[in-house]
Amino acid sequence: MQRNISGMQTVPRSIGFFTALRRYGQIISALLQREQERRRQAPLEGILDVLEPVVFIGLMSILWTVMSRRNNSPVGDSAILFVATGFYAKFFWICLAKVRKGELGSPRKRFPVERRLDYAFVLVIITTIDYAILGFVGFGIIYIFVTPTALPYDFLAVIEGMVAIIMLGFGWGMISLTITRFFWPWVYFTAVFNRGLSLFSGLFFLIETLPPDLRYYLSLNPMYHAIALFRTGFYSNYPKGSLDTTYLAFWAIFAVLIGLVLERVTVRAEEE
Amino acid sequence: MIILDQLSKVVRSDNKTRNVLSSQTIEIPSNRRIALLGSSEDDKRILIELLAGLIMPDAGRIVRKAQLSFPVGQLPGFSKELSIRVNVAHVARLYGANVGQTVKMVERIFTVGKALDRPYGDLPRKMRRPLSQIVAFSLPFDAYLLTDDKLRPEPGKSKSERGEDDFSASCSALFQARMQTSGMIIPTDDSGFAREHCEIGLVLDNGRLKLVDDFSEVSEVPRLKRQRHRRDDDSDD
Repeated sequence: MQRNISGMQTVPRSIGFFTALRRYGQIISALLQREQERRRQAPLEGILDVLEPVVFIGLMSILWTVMSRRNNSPVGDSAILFVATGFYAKFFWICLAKVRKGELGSPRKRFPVERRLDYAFVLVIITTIDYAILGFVGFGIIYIFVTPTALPYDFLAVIEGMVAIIMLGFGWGMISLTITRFFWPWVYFTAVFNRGLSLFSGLFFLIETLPPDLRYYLSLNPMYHAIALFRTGFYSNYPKGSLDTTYLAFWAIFAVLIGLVLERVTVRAEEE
Repeated sequence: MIILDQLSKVVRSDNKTRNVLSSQTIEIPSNRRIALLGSSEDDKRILIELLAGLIMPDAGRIVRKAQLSFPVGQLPGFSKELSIRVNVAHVARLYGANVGQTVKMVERIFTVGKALDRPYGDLPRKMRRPLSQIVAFSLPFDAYLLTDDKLRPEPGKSKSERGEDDFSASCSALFQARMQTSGMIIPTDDSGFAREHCEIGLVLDNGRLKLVDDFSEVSEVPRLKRQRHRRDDDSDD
């Protein structure tokens, strides 16, 4: 006997590459919309990620104003802008590279069409959107109240720097997630390591002003190159002697590849 | 069609390993109502989770040439802090269904009033199972993967005893409607239920899978409670 239930939907019949691509887009969009809903219900959680750079840059600005060092910048006319460009890039990387084991969850806590990698992509998209908004607002405020050089003169360099940070952060985040799976204290080590790595990236100083040996060792840190590339978008006279975009591109691609490979080979271990 | 190619799954517990599937190759039609029969409830659950894609095999692969449901009876991806309505909309988006239509259908059948806008975590556990069934059958799939055969009203209980199952009639109607249009894989240990509701059987025993057209062949599988369902239904009436 054929029964009819009003409003009952049927399975679409089209199958093909573009249908599959559209389906994947639907999954990512669904995860994004749910994340948006989560943020709407608990707005503080979303704010916390972007609050840290705001607090740091604010405190540094107050401190340097009190010490009358506002105009004492290694490059450009504003120390606040110099520190802001460094801290913004640093916290963007830390946020992307953070081990989010709980949020990525076990396969039994997801629908079969949701994959761990999809969650990781969604977290990258959300963090990027957060930081893009923070960038527009934060550098806008610095532009209005501090210095007109806060408006990037080379947007392409800013975007290239951010893409490099996204790739490094995503790749290193996936690698850290895998290490944490087999060695749980890594979640604490990596938090310290990530901050240390970004601290030696020329946040407060220009690497070019250091002795050659020290400059060489510090320039091995790919985050230095990412932050330098980001800053070249703000300063036309930023010294580019140690900036190696090929080295940065190599590390960015390498981090993503290793991160993706480790994600695949450890996908079974996540079930246990 | 669901193709299992040299599929193996080993389960480890208390330093012991057990083969749920040992290198099985089989083609399972996705447009038929299939009774999943076997001696171990755990093994049948693991096979359903493998087919759904919730867990991965240890070796081999599964080729799904059909859109398969999540295990009906579970809502693995529901967020406890979000409302049922938001969760239902999320799952509809995930599976590419019409969001408005799906939410409306769930709202119509899962008659809990304002509780639909309360966090899913607040929903009593006994209500989560029927919600999963309603959500799953509201979404269009080529084949539904059930976790057991308890969709029909519980045998031996009158309507008043069932209490919270006010919506069971609507849910049952939805199940019956989907049975007409889609395939199903239903784990059961009741050959009477299998004969009545299913077209073919899939027997999982000692790591081997076998499709059977004739349910009289399955009598060799231990623990099958033949005819229990029919007897229970008779007493219910």
